[in-house]
Amino acid sequence: MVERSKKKQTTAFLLILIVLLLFMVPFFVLVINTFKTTAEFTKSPFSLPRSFRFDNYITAISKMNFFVALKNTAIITISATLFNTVISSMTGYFFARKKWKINKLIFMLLLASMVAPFQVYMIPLVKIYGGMLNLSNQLITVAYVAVGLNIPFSVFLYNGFAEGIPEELDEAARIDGCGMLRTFFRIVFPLLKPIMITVMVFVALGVWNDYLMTSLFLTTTKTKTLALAAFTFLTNHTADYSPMMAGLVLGILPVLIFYLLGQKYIIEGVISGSVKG
Amino acid sequence: MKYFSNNKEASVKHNRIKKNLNSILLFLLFAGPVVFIWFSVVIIPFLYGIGITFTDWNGLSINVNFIGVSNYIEVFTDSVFFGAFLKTVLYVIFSVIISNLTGFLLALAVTSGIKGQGLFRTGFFTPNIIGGIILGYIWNFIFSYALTGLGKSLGIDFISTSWLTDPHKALAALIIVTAWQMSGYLMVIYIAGLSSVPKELLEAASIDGASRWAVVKKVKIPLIRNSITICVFLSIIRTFMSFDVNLSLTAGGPYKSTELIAYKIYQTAFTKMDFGVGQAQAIVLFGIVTVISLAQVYFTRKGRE
Repeated sequence: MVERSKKKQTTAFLLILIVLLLFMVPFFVLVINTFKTTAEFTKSPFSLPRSFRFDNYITAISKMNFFVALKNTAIITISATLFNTVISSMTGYFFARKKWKINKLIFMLLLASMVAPFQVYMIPLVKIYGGMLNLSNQLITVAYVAVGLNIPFSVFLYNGFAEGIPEELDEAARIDGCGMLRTFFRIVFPLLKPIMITVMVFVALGVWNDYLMTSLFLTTTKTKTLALAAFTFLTNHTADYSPMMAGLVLGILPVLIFYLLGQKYIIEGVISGSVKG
Repeated sequence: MKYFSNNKEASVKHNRIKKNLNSILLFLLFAGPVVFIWFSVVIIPFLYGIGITFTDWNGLSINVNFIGVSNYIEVFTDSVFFGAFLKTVLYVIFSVIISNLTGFLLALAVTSGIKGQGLFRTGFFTPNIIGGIILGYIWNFIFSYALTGLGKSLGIDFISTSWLTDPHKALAALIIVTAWQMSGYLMVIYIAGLSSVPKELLEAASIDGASRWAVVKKVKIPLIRNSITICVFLSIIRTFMSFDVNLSLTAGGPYKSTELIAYKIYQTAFTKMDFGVGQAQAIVLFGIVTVISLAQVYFTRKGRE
């Protein structure tokens, strides 16, 4: 009986493994063809490459301005994520401790503003930041807008978590002579770590992968992010497919490394970021 | 005596002012940056956007005229926009059903007590960490070259011409890619739901001789109703706003056969430079998403009762 169920489980395991491998086929096809010439790819897209030639990667790196794009993406993502972490956690905590009317009102409006799709802000943002303020082609503009768009749900998550931190901890610190600011950074901030990881992962992945919002502000080669660089490379570069596929692999690689290092946190972050209560 | 009490009153007043001032400072310190940025990126653009819908602004001319609700009239009488809406609905229905079924079945399989749950979670979730633009392009290569190559060499007519050049199959391709990406995502939520089903209940059911299917139908599905509500609504909202894959897989083509709402709005605004109409279309999308969100709140509450 035990033996039989073990056998059954092995079969089930193998079955799902096959499903997973089928599921991954697009990635395999992509990767194997980056080591072929375009002629080889169009002739036999599913055959394994005969050797590892990196010519396509070299072409893609120079045509995409890969390292510039990587640097730009990193600057935007890191600055937006860190800034959002500090200000949203402060507000989330503040709203959990001070139930003033104004705080409750702002919190309600924050929740309501989570519903709107980005399309609603798209045209006005271009008009205000690109037109009136003339801030296009600056990385900081994209980081700023990204922070703003991520504020509602970040504050919401920090607030929910801070509600669960006993107020006695704050009081103990206050008796020791700490003001609210010092209490927050010395006592509360470290306790927020689990939710912080969640929010940071969600924000960072969203900003890193964003195409639409970023494309509205960054148009010069010098300021392009990875998503934009991959897009321009693939739309402007016709008929020579193998370097394009190498470009896609390069676009995936940084985030894939990040994923393999912290998949548990990343999956949790992405899921709880969108399920939000 | 009188003088004394006045002094006391003044001091109380002084204290109150000091306390108020303190509160304001505290508010500015803790909530000031958030409120400022949120206002400048979300609230002001939102209100400004509503304003735009009542004008004929095209992004270039200095003359902007107030034209009342005619942008909205244009949106509601535009058969192309309505067509995009119908295509979106079709796309949403198929994507939501396929990805929820796949996600749920995968979650059932993964939680059935087999080894390597973590591996499968990580594997099936992978498409969700990659941007839609890149995923769309990967599948573009698959549909345009890899599958056609396979079809030609094996003599399968069905895939020997690219799906992306056929108006009907292109929408199907879009649905396949969406379902492929989203099912791993929904799977993780379903796994969380299924893991919270008490083991004793499942054991009791199987001791009573319930078949596997009966356990799924009578025990598991009723107990994870909450996860189902979340997954269904999440997938509806996400697919209604789908843009990235639409752009890089089909770019609305062939012959505009796959222009979904979000893509259509982008086209109206930045290709036709018709900002007033584009913004009015965006407000319509906002209305649709709001109604869906309210329905979710309603069904979640109902589920809890």
